[in-house]
Amino acid sequence: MTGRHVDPTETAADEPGPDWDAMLDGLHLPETEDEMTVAHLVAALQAPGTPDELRGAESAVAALVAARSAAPADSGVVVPLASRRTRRTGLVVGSALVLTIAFAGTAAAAATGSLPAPVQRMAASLFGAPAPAGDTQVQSTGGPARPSGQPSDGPAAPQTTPGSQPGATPPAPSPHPSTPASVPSATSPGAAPSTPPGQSVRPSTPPGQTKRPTTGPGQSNRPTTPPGQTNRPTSPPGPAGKPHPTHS
Amino acid sequence: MIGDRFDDVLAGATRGDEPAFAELYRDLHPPLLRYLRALSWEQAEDAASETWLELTRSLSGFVGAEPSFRAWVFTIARRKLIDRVRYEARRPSSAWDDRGDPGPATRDVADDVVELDSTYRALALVRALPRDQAEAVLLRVVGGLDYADVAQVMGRTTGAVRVLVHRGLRRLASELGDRAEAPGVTP
Repeated sequence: MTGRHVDPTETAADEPGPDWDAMLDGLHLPETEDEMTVAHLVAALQAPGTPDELRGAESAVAALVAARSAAPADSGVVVPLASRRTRRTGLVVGSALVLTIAFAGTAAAAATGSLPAPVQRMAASLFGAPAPAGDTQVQSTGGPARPSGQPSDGPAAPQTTPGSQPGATPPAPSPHPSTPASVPSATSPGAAPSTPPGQSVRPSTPPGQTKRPTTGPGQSNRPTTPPGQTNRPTSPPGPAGKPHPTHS
Repeated sequence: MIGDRFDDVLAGATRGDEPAFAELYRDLHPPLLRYLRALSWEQAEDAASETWLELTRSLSGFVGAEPSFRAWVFTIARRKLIDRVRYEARRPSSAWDDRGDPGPATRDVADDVVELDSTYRALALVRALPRDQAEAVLLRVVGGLDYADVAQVMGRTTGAVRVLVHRGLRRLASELGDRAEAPGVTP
């Protein structure tokens, strides 16, 4: 309570005297006057509860039982103090271990160029990791949304390996990870005019390069910007702006 | 101490069995209140109530024997008292210096010897000890904790609390002996 952790008595030698511990544990009957005096004191301190101390016990117990009934069954696991300390230490060590492994794994993936292209590009600019394969011009421009139809993607295609090609990574959030900016633009109504109907929006992925079965050469823009839906915003103006007419 | 029946009593209290809870309360509340009153008389009742409330909420998760349970209860009580004193007092004097005075300590010291069987007078004598000695003696004698548990509750080493208890008891014996030798006082 006082925050004082250094106790001068901790290092002081205990003077010889009555065997207080044995007396407190009932293993030694008081003999000397001091022992008998302390024994009386201890007996008084350990006496059964006085009426004053147990005043209102019935109502208190009833209230606590009611509170106990209202409390959730698993309202916290309580373990002895030593176990709690051990568990807390284990939690800290485990968290540090997980973070270390995650960082090391990410660093290793960045070093081998196995990260998704945007992340790999960021790692290349920050830590000197190898740039994503076939992405030298993109890295030089620094912009993820390169103009479509540039011939820079063509020669880069043969250099891509299955492990490093962005399109070959299944968990990539976009079907076109090399151009991440085009995906949110296709889903947002404000960006819909950038992909006019009938225009092939991705000449940067020639048929010979694409390895995505879901986006064939003739369907490269269908999943994101169907021509018939580019002019159908999700929140049309006017009366259609009330999506729930039942709510008045 | 409840003893061999502790597991059954605790299980019953955990289920919400009122008689079991009452037995737990009657066994623990008096020493708990004595411990808290010796440290801060004014905050003792509220701190004890908050202790029981937290105990009630967390009862189902407790795993351990009766000594561990008592150490857990006194740890909660100590923390509740600290919180209450910090919240209520907001003044320079610490909780230990502001232990309040219910009356017995201000009475004639001769009564402390003549009526030593009085729990309140015994408590008043302990409260006159230095605060660390008083708390160590209370946890060891009133709480019934062993030195290791007292050390955990107080955040000290086992050796330190053992020295504190010994010195406290020796000091009590000395003071009581001096008072008994005073003229007109019969031990």
